[in-house]
Amino acid sequence: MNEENSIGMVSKDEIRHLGWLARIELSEEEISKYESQIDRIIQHFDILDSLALDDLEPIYLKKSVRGLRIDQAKDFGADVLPKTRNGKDGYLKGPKSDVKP
Amino acid sequence: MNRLCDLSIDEVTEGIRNQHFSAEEYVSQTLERIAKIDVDIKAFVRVNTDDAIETARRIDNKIHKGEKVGYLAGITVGIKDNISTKGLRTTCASRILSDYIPPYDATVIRKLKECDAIVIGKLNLDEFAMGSTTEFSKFGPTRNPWNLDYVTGGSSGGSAAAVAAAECPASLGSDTGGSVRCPASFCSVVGFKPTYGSVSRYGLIAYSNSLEQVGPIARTVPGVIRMMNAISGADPNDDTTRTVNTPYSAEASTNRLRIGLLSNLTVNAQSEVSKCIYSAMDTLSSAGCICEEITLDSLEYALASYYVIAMAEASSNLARYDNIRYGFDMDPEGYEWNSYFSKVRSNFGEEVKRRIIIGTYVLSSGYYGRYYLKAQKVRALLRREFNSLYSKYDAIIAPTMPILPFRIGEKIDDPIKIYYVDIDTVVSNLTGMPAISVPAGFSNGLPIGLQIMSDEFQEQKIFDAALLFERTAKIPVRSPF
Repeated sequence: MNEENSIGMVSKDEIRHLGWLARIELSEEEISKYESQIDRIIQHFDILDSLALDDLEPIYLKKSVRGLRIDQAKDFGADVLPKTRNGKDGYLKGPKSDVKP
Repeated sequence: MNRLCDLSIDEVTEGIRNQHFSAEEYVSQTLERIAKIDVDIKAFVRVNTDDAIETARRIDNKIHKGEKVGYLAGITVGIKDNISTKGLRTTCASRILSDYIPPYDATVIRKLKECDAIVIGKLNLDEFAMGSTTEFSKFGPTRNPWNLDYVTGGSSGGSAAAVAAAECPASLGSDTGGSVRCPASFCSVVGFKPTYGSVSRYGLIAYSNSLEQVGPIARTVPGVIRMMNAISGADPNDDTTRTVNTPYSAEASTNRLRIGLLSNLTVNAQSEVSKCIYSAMDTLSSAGCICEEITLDSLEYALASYYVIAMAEASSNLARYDNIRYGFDMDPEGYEWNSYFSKVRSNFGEEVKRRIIIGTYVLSSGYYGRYYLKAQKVRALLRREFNSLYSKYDAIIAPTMPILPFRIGEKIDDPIKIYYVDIDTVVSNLTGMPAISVPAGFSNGLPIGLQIMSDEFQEQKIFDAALLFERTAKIPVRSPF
């Protein structure tokens, strides 16, 4: 996507593509519904364009890396994986990653 | 004797400690009450019956043996279902977490348990806390105890309704853009959003990390203060937390408070709400506060800034849900990874999907500068302007909600109408500053809340103003059930 798109022009194809980027399958009915809703919401966001904000730095949380806790695995002392779903012999069954859609 | 369910937090802990009644009796009555009235209200999505009774017996045993018990001994607390409770299912009101049983307690839960509070059950919310009405829940809407046809507000609707209906004396919610204060206002209870960093978020299932905080709901300001004293403070598991100056006092300060009323939020509210907030200002003046009206033009950019940031963070935070370790039954056998992932994630609810899609859009290449970066700058602008206000005022007041509670279903098909109800609350999340909603009155039997805000880590100033208002205005603390 690029900034050439004029305001208020989120197309069905774009919504379908956003669904793909977010890995959410959307039905045609949902795409039609979201098209007009999302257009209106994005138009509301365009109010941000009317403010002169060049002299402002965005707020970010600043903390030195040394101040962060150690990233250690924790043993919760319980079987954290469900015993009944997708679990077998201490492994989890997931979808294959080598098959083309 | 009063019904036990009507007692305040202090009355319950005193009653149990002095053996006027046992923790077990109190819990049993609470459970009976939930069984009786929650059929109508639908605040609870799960009741922690066996564990609650067992914990109560343990507390009673300690008391019989003359051992010391915790500061909240026997208090039954309801927990929003996006806060992790060890061994107790935590679903975020979503199919995608429908069988998730956390292996650990959130820090706030651990702290409550250390104070001998009792987790009585899990409370309804908008899926993943995204919403302002508690209608976007896989369990269906919670109903406002003051009128069952009306919304509770959200997203912590279960947490507010349960306290309003005296199903429990206190609860925990989470507040990302007003999700504790909005339902507190709509249900006529007290709800508090702490300063970002004063309460640990460890174990709160994240939706928008830079905005959200866990916050308590109770029937009175002292009740909220008791809960804050239990849950506040630095936590090594949440690097954004800080040491705070607790315990907070529930004795109203005798200092003359300087209070500014945000007139642009008040004038633009529904007339009944506006009238009530001006009358609240008069009440505070009569109690000795120095009150004046102020305006802040940049507030008009707050809502857009809030939704850009919240949706961007939501799209990133919820990317992890793949339905493999927990979720609902759908065998991955035969699926390619992307198609399985896309199919199971289509089971997010309507509002969650909408926010993830918009969040993905505002973060996409080319749009980042137009939306996300600008939204973060508006945040800086608001912080700067509020900092300057707090050099003149101890607290700022405004309506919590711009409108009265509305009927269930009335706005559900128009997301923008729902987003607009957050217009008065989002600024505290964007700036990280604390804010409370206290009952301020009723119009046609529907509650109105007064919002009191203050500077970062100045929770005591908010409590001072809120205590003064509560004691002067004398809005009746009563359960509609």
